[in-house]
Amino acid sequence: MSIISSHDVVKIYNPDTIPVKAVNGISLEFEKGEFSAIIGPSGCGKTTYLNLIGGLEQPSSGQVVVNGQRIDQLKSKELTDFRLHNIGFVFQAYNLIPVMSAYENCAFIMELLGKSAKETQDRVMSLLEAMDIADKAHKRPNEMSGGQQQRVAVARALAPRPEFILADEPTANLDSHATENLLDLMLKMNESEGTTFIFSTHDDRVMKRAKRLVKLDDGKVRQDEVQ
Amino acid sequence: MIGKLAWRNVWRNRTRSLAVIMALAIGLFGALFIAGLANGIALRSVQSAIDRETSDIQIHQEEFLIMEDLNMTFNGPELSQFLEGKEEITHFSFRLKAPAMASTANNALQVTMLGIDPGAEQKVSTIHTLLEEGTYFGKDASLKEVIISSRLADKLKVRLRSKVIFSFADINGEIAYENYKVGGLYKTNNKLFDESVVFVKGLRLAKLLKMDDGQYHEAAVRVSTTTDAELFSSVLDEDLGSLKADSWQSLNPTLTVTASTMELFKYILVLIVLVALIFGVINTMLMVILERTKEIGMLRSLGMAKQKIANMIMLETVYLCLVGGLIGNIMSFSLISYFGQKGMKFESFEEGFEQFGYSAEIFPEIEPSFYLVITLMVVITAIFASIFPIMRAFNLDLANAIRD
Repeated sequence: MSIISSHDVVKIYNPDTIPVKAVNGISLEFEKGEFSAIIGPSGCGKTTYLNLIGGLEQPSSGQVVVNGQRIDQLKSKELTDFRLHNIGFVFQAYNLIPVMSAYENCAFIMELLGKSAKETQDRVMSLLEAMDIADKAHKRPNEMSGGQQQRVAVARALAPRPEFILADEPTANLDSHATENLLDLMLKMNESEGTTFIFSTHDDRVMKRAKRLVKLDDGKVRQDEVQ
Repeated sequence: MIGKLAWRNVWRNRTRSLAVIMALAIGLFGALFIAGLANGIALRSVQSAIDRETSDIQIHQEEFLIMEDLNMTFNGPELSQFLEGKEEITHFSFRLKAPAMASTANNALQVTMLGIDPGAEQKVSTIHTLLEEGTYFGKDASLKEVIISSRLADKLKVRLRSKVIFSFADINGEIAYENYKVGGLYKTNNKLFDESVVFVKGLRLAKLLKMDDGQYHEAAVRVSTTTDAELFSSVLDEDLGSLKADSWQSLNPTLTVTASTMELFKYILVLIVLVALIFGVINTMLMVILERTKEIGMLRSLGMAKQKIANMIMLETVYLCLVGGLIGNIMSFSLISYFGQKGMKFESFEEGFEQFGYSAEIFPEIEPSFYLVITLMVVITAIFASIFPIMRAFNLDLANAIRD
């Protein structure tokens, strides 16, 4: 059963001035537990497509259905709530809150969900252990390496047990060792927690580990293959 | 967690936050200190006027203050008996009050003679403490001794122990004269009062005015510090029959206006300073939002509701302003307390101050509750200042914010 499906999704920027079709009729389905990568050259529409299925942007036309719900019809407030309960995000530049420790960065999202202190502590510490950074729990982002920060970002995304995680170029700022490490950990979480991971990437190392590759070009799907 | 995050955010850019905090603290300190000075002037002038002129309450025949008819008297012993039964009253003194002409070889001036019982008067007025020369009706003082102000002495060109002739009409309208010897020279900070009021012994004046024993024109009453003079005067009024009790507020409406104007002035002054400072705070918070566009975008992407983002920005602004406000309050409190004890003397402006009945020595004062009100005003200002940054954060385009 597909967890995400998009039907003929189009996204046009500046429709009234100089229209740019970033996504041009993409129809895709993602099953629960997938570990997929959306690939393609810069400007092919990877990030825009991730934003559309993540509810960060609304499509100009077409439908985006997540967990049976049309998110392209949700209002801003409903979308925010939807993202909180269903989607985890991992960004290229980690985007951790610099004034909070690794633990607090993860616990913060649990608090938004109204989880108890005990549940938050158990979940966050188990994730930090799984990510092999439990010893950095009380370090702030500026006291950690890029790889460690990205692992905190993954832990934060996983903390509320989302239906799926959207990761936009998560390895772009990491060296090979950190990239391999991060991919190992994400695969482990994909297998142990059954979390769906969808990446946008240029990185060959990610492509090799992904179980499905969707290639985009000029906002259209050019290739969709399971490895 | 939002509170903790907001607090830490305040200290992300310490230099900038400290600059805003110090601007707030110094601005508020300045406003509070000036308000304290103004309040000190007003309170002292009110208190001085009560102490030396009006007392807390005065009792007269109903029309006496308008007609100033010497025949409008009351029976001292009877009123004394009535007043002694009131626990709110701490002291009272009876006075005779007669308009007179003070003449010397050099000048003649119109004055008001207050015929007093020196012992009782000492308990309701501070005139005995304001003598620059001479004594306040000492044991050996004759019945023909007068205490005048040094300002009046200058105008009449007399000195201590000089003679002054007072002429006045008695209760029958016949002109009477009496030679008085200057036994003491007082000085208050009210030029008008000094030039118009002289003190003599009531016993002698009563005889000169041909008044019956025990008859008086005015009772000066002091009440305990916990008693509201205005309220108590109306309570007294109900039982006084043909007599009328007036509080200092109705006896001297100018004083009341001064006190309430200064009260209003304090708030207006602080409000103006806060309104001026609010723009600096808004500017800083808008810069904060601009710098943290990506972070705010990320928080919203993760599912943080707009309301919580707004709370975070509002709390950040409130913390920033509160720290500045508290420092300003502490600075003001310390300095106002210090000078409230020591006083600040503005000698070069003495003449000007006294022209308006104010002392040139100012004891700044602000009631503790005012600091609480100011803190509340700072919080409200901060909430208002956070509106524009919150709107800016709300208007962020999520996808662009994350990409930035």
